[in-house]
Amino acid sequence: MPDEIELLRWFRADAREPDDAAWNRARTALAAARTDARTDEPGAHGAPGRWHRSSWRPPGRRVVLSTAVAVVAAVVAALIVGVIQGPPTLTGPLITSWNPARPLPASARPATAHPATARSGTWRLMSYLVARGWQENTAGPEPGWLTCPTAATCYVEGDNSTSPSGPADMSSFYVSTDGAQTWSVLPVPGGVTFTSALSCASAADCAAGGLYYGHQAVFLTTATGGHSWTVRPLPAGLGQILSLRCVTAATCRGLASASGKPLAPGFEMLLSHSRFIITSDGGRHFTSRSFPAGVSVQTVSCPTAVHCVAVGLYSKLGPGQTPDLDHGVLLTSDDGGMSWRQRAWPNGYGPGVFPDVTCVDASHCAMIGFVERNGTEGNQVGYSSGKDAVQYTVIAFSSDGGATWTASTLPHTIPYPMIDTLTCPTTRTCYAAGSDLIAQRIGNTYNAGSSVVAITRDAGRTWQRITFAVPAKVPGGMQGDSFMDISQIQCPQPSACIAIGVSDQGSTSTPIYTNHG
Amino acid sequence: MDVKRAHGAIAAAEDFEAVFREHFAPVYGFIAGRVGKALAEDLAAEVFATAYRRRATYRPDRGSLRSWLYGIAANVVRGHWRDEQQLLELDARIARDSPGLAQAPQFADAADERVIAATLAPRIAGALAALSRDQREVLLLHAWGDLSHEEIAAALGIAQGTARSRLSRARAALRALLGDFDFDQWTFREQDHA
Repeated sequence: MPDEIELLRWFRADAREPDDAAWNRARTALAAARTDARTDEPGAHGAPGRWHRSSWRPPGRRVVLSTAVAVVAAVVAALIVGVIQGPPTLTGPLITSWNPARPLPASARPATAHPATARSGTWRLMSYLVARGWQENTAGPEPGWLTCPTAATCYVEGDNSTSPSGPADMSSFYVSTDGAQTWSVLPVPGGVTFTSALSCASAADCAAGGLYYGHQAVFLTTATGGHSWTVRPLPAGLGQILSLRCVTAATCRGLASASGKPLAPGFEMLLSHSRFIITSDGGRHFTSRSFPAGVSVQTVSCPTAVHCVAVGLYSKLGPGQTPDLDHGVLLTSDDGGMSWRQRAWPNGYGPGVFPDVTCVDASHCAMIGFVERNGTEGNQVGYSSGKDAVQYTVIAFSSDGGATWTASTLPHTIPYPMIDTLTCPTTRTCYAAGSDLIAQRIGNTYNAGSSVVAITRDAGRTWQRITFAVPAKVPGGMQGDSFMDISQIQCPQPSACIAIGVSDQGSTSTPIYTNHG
Repeated sequence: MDVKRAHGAIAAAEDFEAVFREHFAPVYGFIAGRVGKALAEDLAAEVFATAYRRRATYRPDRGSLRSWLYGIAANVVRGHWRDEQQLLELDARIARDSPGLAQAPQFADAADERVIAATLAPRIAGALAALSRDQREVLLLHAWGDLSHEEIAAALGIAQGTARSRLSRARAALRALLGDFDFDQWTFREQDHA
């Protein structure tokens, strides 16, 4: 007798056959991945890495002979490295030589044909991240993680061009030194993908977590704004770095996964049983501390050397249970993360899928709270539950160092906000960025949400909405969705912020917004 | 069935070409069915580019190659739940003329097919839209990916018992949501009285 599975197999059957375009698109992406694999081979086994400038030429300028030689070399290298020796492993620091930045082509910047200006405030669309090389790979870098140590200097760790939405292949690196108006690309050490956002103690001194050839957790530092790097393997038993905050060039605190194995994005990342890590010597040595049993901390903020606030999830799950996103775990530390005290979780909201806490000083903190109501089935790893589910975020504020919190609901002008990122340059001024549920249309692209930045200058009592106009049609190399969400915002000064849109599949660029300069 | 690769990691680029040829169409189908053809082109390409780059991390002892690929696909699609939900809700409202019905041999008459498709597709879309994300995921991995409980567990990184019970609950929920659907007649009973 036919059953519901057979019914499902019939449903959309006509839409599930790949046509020639789909095959060709996939073959192109695969070819690009193979090319990347070949150019990533050098620099293994702890040898000081040097990038070959030829690998950064536009592919169109390469000669056939060098391509053939590269193919043969790659096959041989793959046989030797991949089959006989396995993936390369660092046994000591990998120090790369200084590399120049490669400016992105001017033609990639937005033309006057589609200027984007905000409907309120003074925000405007500044530029797009575009790299010629990425375009030739048919897909561009994701926005990835934005870090702006100053109003002039910003960095973006972007995704691999052939993996535009995969969060696990952050292998490109961009820099702007003019307030996000123009961007250059800098090479990333061979085999390295970022696992955390960059954290910068100054415009040039930065650090980040990474994976070496996808299997070995490493700590990356640069004192030259990304022109050269030192890559150090993390101590055995410490997993990959998930977040990092560096107060000086040598002292950084953050979170790392407890196990040494690479984490998959999503559920695994959400329950990574993270540990608090500290280095005071630029990554030569690390101290790590566990959080209370059954807790998986997702975000931590240490505004001073001793005070820290952490937010996490309960990670002890029974069979068939999924993480409880409505009730989180709140921890504070007054000894620099050596020990943690569990605080009562505030009522009315949970940590959600993207918990974020940020503290300006030892007293003033803010965090994103997640609310889900009336769903036919709640707590399903934070994704849309039933058709009646209502999901939105609130911003909670604390003025006693994270012990107690007061939720601030964003105004009705921002319906059902899904705030992805939060930054507070002062104790009273915060910027919350993400999307809402105001439908948008760009050409033939429809989306249920719009980009939004909400600003409070009175610690959440009132909010101002900043909306962004979308272009009349989708600019070349981009997708409409890129304009319909804000993935990251950084405010190095109270009135100087840089925000970056999302990059959907197939986009070769991502909008950048700023309110200064 | 990829017997050769079931016993070892994907070592060489030539091996991966065979993987691609064998698995691209079904993985693409899984993605296209969920988020639509326009988005599926890029997402499916991304799945195989990702798989290629991570091929050294594939562990045959942790699950079949198929489940590994569908796991990557599920991760990629997970980032587009709004697109998926929107498409389902759109389909639930719009009667579709689906040539896919031709694959159901019991409908010999084209006109009948169109009528059935017009009523059936929106109901299925509505039912899928009402399922939780987890339930929908396991259900479609099973229905469109032909993944067993064990393979679903490996793909999603969950326990086999969890995969089994989740699938069971998902099937029951879908049946309940379809309510008056007559699986013998392949139609909704209310139509008999129309």
